Amino acid sequence: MLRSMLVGLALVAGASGCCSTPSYTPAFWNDGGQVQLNNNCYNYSNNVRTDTFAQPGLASGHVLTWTDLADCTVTASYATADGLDPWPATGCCPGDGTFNHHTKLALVVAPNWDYHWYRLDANGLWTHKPGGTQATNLDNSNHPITNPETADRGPYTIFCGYFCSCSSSTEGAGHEHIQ
Amino acid sequence: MNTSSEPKSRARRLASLVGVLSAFLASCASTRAMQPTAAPDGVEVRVLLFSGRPDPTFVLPEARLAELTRALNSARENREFQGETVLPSRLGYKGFLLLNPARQAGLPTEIAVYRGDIEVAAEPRRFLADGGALEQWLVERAQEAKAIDERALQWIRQR
Repeated sequence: MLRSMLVGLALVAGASGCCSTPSYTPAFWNDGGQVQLNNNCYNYSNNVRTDTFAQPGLASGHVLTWTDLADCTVTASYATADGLDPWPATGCCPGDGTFNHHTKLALVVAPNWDYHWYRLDANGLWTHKPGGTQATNLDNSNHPITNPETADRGPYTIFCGYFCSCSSSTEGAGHEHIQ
Repeated sequence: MNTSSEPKSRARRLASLVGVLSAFLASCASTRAMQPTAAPDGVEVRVLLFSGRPDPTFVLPEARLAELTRALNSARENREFQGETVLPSRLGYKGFLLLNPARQAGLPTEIAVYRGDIEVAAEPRRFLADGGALEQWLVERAQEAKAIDERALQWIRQR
């Protein structure tokens, strides 16, 4: 309990501004133009609009290439270098009890091809944004996503694990430094 | 809390600066496909394959624009189309997106194509159907431009 609280405080201290969890309000991302086309799953899951198709590691000095995508290792380490915190499958991301709750993300990989991120919204369901297409709360079989480990993920067959991100209840206003 | 957050914040800012410089130097050497692309003067085609990495793009040669116009003209109006867009929010192949901000050859500013359905940015937005002819034509142009390889082709053909 004490350890969990200390870890929680450390995570809160590492982010600028209060962390909170977004609800599923895809209209911000699904404008059919600038925002939708230029923000990917990493932007959406961290809830940070950069209009650059943000890449894990770029903000911390790493360039991810397709050769890094044989498994999860490099993408996960680059995301961690960006400030995301690996977290176990069970349990919520830490907070201070009433606010500053971090948002849980999930990373998956299509081997030697691509990576993808999901985010856990305030209603307890997972949502995602496949590349430049619309953000959605459905998986490839058109089912709501209750568990990214068992959701239909198409070719993204490797489940890598969970992370905590300092997000925001306001769409596009997450606090992690990604680019 | 401030005393512990400030050093971490400074360290992050420094890491960020070093990161930008390293990323720039690295990008000069390789990874062309991982960099965002600037909007070209012509008709830019994005092959919507990825979720995280930037999608492959190419520019349609001017000599091909008349063929694109003909393909659009020969597609039939599809007033029964349900939904906001023909491009699916799914993992895997998601169609082609053609961006033409300069309205080259009098073509629409945006055309989306997926599995025989075509969406044309206009007032009002129009939906067309052609049985997949334009999509196949775009696959051939993407191969011609070396924007996609054999594996990408497999993804596109997967149902």
